[in-house]
Amino acid sequence: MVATLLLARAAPPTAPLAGAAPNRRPDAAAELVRRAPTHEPTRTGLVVPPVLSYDITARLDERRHVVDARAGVQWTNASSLPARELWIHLYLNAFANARTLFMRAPASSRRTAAELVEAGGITVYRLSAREFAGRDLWRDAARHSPGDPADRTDIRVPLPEAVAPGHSLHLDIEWAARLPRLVERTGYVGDFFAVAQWFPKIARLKPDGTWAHFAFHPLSEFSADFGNYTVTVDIPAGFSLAATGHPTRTRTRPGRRIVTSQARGVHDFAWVAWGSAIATETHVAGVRVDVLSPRGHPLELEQTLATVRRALPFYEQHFGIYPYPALHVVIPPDDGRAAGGMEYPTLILTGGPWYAPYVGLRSVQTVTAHELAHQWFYGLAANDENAWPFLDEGLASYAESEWMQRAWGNGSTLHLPWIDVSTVAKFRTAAVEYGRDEPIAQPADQFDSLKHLGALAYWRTSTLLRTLGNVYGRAHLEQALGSYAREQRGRHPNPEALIGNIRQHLGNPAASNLRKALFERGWVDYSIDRIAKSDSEHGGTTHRVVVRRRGTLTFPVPIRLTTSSGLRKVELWDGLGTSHTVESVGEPIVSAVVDPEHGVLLDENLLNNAAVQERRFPWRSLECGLSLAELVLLGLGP
Amino acid sequence: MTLLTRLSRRISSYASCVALGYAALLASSVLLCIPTLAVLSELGVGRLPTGDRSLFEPGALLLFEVVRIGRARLTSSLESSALSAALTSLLALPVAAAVMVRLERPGRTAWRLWLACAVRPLSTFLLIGGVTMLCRACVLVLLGFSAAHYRDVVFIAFGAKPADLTLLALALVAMVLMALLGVLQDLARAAAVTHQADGYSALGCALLLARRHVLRWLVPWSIAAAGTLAALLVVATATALFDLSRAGVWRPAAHFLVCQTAIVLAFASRIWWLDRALRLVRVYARAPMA
Repeated sequence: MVATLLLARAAPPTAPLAGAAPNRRPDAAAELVRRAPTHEPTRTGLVVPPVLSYDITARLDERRHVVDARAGVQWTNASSLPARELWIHLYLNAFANARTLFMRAPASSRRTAAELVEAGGITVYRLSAREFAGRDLWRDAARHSPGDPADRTDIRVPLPEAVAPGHSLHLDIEWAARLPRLVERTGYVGDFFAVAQWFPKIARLKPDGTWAHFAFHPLSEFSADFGNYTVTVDIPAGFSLAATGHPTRTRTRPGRRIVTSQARGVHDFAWVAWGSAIATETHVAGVRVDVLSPRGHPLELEQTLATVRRALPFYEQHFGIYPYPALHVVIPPDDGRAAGGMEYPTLILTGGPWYAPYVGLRSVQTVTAHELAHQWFYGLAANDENAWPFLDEGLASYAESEWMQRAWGNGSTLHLPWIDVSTVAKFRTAAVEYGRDEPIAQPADQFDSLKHLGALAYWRTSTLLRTLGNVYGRAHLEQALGSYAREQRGRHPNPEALIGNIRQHLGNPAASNLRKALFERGWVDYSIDRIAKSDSEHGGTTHRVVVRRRGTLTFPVPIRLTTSSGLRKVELWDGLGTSHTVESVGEPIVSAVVDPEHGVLLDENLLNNAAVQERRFPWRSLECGLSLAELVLLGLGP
Repeated sequence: MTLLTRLSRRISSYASCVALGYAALLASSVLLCIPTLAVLSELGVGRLPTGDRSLFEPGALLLFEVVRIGRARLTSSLESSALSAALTSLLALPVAAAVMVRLERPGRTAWRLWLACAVRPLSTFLLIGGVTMLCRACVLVLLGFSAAHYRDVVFIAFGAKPADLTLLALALVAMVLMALLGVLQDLARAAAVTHQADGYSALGCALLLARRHVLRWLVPWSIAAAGTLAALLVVATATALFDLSRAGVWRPAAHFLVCQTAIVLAFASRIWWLDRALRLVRVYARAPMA
């Protein structure tokens, strides 16, 4: 499979730009598209044994904001025990009213402050299994999520008979999904429809026979089995569609457009239908990339395309080939930004503040790079996002920061002529700020707030991995993450899979530090305690530098001493004890620095990493501060 | 009096005004910076082998660290600086009075007489300052509330971009109103110095002048404002050009020189505007004030 795809990638461009609509594309983007190499899509999807496959026919009623649908579902018991029940996720019911688990969660857990203006939800009309003579199973289904009468996102459906391991059920489902006014990544606004979590999703039955089922919490994302999806969506004519998979057939009826999409080896299916979108199509390394963007944002479109064009091959090189023929990117409209920053298999919704490109912020690139990285860490290596959110968010954040640093260097977060802010600095600051509050490796709904989830699962994980790379070797880390991503594609990895790969490529100390940092709130702070001198027995003067390590993580660190004549001496400390003394006879030591290159980015305090014999006055700060203060006073007027 | 003598007197008065004003500005700025510098020292920036050069390094790793670790102390230092700014704005009143008196009476004047003349309009300056500050506070509160309200309304109706643009528009309106109040303050001060008018008469005169002779104050004021903006640009450009994260004395020294020169020139443009304001009052407000 990989070999075939590599050959396909090497083939010269043969096809002209397919489906291009020049009159609908802004000039800047058109230029990018013209320069893009074009390939016939030859990637066919991820080949994995399908456990959960859907054949869905859906119709969007854009006036009622309702999707009426029916599906044929094939579900296989991939566990080692007979299954006597099904657990079905109706996540759209999170927006049914203000009392659901999702909506009643504290504001600190929510991504946006948006209120539920118009409710949504799923109404299942019928759920039957051919194996049970078409009996309607939904009549016996639980009315609400376990222990939560106000929530209907996690429903147990008892089965009349157990399904033996390896056996399949063929289900027929009919339902209607009422879309809420856009709230937290789902719903409609104007003619923009973000249709996600819109179908009854059978939860994942783990190999040990237990179900990975959970009610929809605002801090949580999703988990499902891999399978093949064939989805036919009936949308108004003139609407653009971005859907998981790739379109295989398009038909028209008066006033309607019917598109059939296929996705092989995915674990979710989402789509966006948008009446006033600008559709742009290009090809990147053999992958067809369709972008839907709002009018009046050519710069955002250009930056998104440029990021996909450069980041996709970068991720493929590091984490394995992108196996699908298409990728869909949606830049939501101004009033639909709440839909942005989300990933689904082969479909990402980007975003960021509209003004970012004009003020030096690289938000568009950051969000695009992050969501694209999720195609590997979530899409392919499909960990349970509720149980271990750090596995997908942390690794996607690492991949994003790695790409952003390589692409933009020190100005990867903000670039202005007089200041550059790097992604590494931004991530590290948040990572250390909340580092000891909670463990990184814990279920999403256990985090205290979205701020904690972001700081720990996203940024501390990324900073931790970068620290491991800095200390034990960047090349080894790349190998470890590359082999994790390749080995786990089509699987549902847990933290042990990541720790195992780190152990294999970076060694036991690195794996031990990783485990402590993930599960035990591991932390570390290196500092120079003092520079002292004493008379030695042989008549000279001995200079001592005492270095301390506090915390539970142990990284080897260099200690750099500078003598009065400017001579530099570097000594490596294994970092195992709580303190270490470096002695030097002869010239006085004027400065000592532990970890001078800031390799240990998890270090709790970087300002105590050095000591000097004579403190320096902050002249540069005074000089800049003076100019700034003078300008402020001058602006205010005397 | 020959033209040359008059010119030399004017230049001399300009130079002394710029020197006095700049010295006061520099002293006030040092006062404003002291709390923050103290925090930087407390945080141990001086313990780093590269000193505070690290704070200017690309990527901002240590700058973020200083802000993270010293957030509480920096906040309190900024509060101290804000208090210092309020105090220095009071102390700036006699300086402004001295500058305007000097501009009004160019040429050789005994220091004692100059001081006496400068002290005379202080109470009027205080009243004018108080009134304009009150107006500025009202504008800020009013526009602040409007911003909070309209942003939500526009956000719900049209989305994020129009809402942010509404905020930006309101901020621009606030800046324009602030600038107008500044113009009124300067004209009123000029009236107080030129005609020894009391506070309310001076403000009335300023309003009248501002309304009737828009171009006559707008052009010189715009030039002075452009001077301040140019100084801002020069400081930003100099900070970008003289990479202060690199070692060596010449970079910060050159940065300091360039920035201070730009600020002195901006200050000179402001002195020139004050001179024009005095002249405007002298020429066009003579009759109403007499």
